[in-house]
Amino acid sequence: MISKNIMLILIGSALVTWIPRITPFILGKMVKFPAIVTRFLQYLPLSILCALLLETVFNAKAGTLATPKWDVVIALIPTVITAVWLKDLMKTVVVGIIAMALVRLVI
Amino acid sequence: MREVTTDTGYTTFRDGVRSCLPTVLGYLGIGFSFGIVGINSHLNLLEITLMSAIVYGGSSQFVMCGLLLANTSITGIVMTVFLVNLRHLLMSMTASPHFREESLLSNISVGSLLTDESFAVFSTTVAQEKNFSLRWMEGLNVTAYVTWIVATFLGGLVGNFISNPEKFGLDFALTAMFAGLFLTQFEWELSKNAKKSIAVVATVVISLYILLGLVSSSVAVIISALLGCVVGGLSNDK
Repeated sequence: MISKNIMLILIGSALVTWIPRITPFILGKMVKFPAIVTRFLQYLPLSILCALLLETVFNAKAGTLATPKWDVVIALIPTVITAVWLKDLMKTVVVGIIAMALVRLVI
Repeated sequence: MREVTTDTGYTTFRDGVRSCLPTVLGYLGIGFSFGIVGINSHLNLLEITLMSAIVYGGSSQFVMCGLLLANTSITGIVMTVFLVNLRHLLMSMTASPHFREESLLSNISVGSLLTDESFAVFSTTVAQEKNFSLRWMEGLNVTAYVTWIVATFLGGLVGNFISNPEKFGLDFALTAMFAGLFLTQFEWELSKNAKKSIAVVATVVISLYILLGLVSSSVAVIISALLGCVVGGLSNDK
């Protein structure tokens, strides 16, 4: 069973996630975004993927400089080599998981 | 109806399923880890599966578990989830113009299931200048969604026996997947305009590092991605 508190949290979280996801799709049906917006957003895939990747590499705490998570950095080396060399996402993920399991075994 | 012919491999729902396959292992790894973490955060199987089905936001779900363990208030949790998932607004703004000709309901369904990973696969397809169909996008999105829910459920089943998925490196599936997706996108952008893509990436790297020390990491991701867009949009096309 689901407690009332958890239910409220799930519904609230679902709504605040869903609304930003669908609003541009609804607005986009009614109005055309200005050319300048489209021009800038062209670079969003590259920018946001770069930011999301790096975010997982750092321990962040507001007020102090971010420090690298060294286990992640080490496991990333074979992962990136696989990604560039084989250009196969599935193999990249497999190599990554194995590399990280080995790193954690040693550290 | 859109009269543009679609490229082979980007037409049917099945094609979409096939385009999703490379990311499926990543979803399985992360979803499975989430199931384990969820059970160990005192949530039950129904609650974690429901969370994956209606919130459907990987990192935000891990954050929710942490906040639940810390006894954070309902408002506090919901507001944090909002911030963590706000980046979808930018991704939806980028993707939505490609679906203008489709019905409102189709637009809502594509938007509802847009994730970092499906957006990345979609963007690479756009960068490769492939013509895709709505059915292809739906195949991509639905495959990811079903995989995520199933992986969560399976993780939840073993959650009582395993407490730390980190030991098996499973949590690293997220970083590995982002690395693969980023490098694929970067390679395409480099081939189109090397100088500009390097300028965009350098902007994101530097600004994100600085911002991580100033604001929460979800806000840092949004601002640094926007700064990357500004640098890309303002520099000359050469």
